[in-house]
Amino acid sequence: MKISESASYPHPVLAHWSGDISEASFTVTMDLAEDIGTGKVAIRCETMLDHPELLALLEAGSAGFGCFITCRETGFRRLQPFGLPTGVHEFAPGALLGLVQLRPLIWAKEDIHGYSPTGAHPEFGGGMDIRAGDILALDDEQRVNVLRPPVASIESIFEIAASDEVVEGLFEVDPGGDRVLIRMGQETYQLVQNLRESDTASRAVVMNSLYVPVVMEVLHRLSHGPEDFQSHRWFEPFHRRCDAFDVSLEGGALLSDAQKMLNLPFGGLGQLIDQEGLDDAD
Amino acid sequence: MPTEPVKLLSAGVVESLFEGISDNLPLYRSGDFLGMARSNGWEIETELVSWDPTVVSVLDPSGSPDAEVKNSLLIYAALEGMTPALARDERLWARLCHVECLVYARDRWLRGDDRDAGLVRSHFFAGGVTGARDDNAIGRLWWNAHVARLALPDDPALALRRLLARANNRLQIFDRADTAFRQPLVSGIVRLLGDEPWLDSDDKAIAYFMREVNKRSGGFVFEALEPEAVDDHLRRCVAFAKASQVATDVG
Repeated sequence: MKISESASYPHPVLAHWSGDISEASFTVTMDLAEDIGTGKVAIRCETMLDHPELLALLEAGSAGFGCFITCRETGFRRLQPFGLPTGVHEFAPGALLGLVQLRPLIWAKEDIHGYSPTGAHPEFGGGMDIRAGDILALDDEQRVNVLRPPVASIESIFEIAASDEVVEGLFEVDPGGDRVLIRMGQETYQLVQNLRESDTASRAVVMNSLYVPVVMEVLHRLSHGPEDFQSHRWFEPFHRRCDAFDVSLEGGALLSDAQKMLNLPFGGLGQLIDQEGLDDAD
Repeated sequence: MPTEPVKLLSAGVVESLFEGISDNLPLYRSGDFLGMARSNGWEIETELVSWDPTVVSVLDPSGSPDAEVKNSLLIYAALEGMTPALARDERLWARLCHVECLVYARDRWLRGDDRDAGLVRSHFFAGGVTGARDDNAIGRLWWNAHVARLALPDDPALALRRLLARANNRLQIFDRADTAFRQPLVSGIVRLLGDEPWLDSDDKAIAYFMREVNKRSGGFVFEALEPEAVDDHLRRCVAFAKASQVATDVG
């Protein structure tokens, strides 16, 4: 279930980013426990809620508390009720894998007439009719990783090729195939290959000068519509790597995101230079 | 029925096969990979899933909706212990399509012309979510039945008949997993596929409908509703979809 934090509802919703209800809070802490041997995964919730009407509705069974759980890898999309103030749910082995998104929420389990929560903004008037299924409170989405398969090497996603159609000194990025193709003139290609194969320091230079702008370009294109690339074989490992480094496909800080995904290549280069300095000192 | 552990390829073997599709086209079209399969990396046994390999002999490669329903039920029942997480593993589906289920995958998908390399890439491998779920010759059958059981746990065969009645039904529903894989919604959608003739009027109707379902189903907890209330919501989506189709046709 997609929930936008900028969405407005026709009734008051308790959320720390919303001004609908003041002087109350709804905060959920979640922990993940994995048993690698059995593949079982359990999620434990600890909830802090200090709003009198919401507590009363939950107590009476007119409202429910839980998390909407989304796992793209396994297709799992489920509203999972949890106990209050603490609750644990154990999932079947293999139900979750990789990135799991957890959205804590309180919802109406039945129609509620004249809902007028304490602290509601005056614009909501003297009372609202709530339908069963309406959201009454939200907390931040949290993310956990379940038995993530090893992250593919970023270089396995790309293919470097020589092309007579590209001016020497330039390179072009073509994400329309099984791998993201980086095309360059024959001489540039040879230079890049030599640098990649010569030593660790040269390899780090290539990571900075070639892969950082290429990853930026791919992130830029994905920000305009990842669905155009989902059928390409490179998309899935690239997406997994984005998740692993908490990089959004919706665009943002391209330069810092690209460096994160490459494991901060300048840091690696810096370490190498420091190491060379030490070697020289010896 | 005698069962045996399901085998997986190593990641390296999958990669090497993927890079060698063109060279291996004759094997995909009329040979087999049994010679290669004696090498390392072709028989990684998993203790988690077992199966009766004789099921392969009764798979129907005709591609008809009836055949897809029957095959989906057979594969789902045959793979004991399979989980959604394992069903995302390319190594498992690639092994089945290159060894045990090679003849079925060939007869079902290959055409004997210059499209074959692309068809092998799509249907004998399983890269990514959509590769395992929608494209792989065997993986898609398991996922068909998995979603059908989510929709109608007591009658997955009926759910399959409705989901697979038109190729576009499956495509449109599976493509909108954020909406359509929510149990109350997919159950309602499958109920409606049996009750609303307009959805079977042409291939475009389901696309208009799913677009409206996707647009109108966020920010609301359908899990709190009775099935009748979900059906009311989906019928409103049908009304919007019909209006949208009329507006498009007029425009």
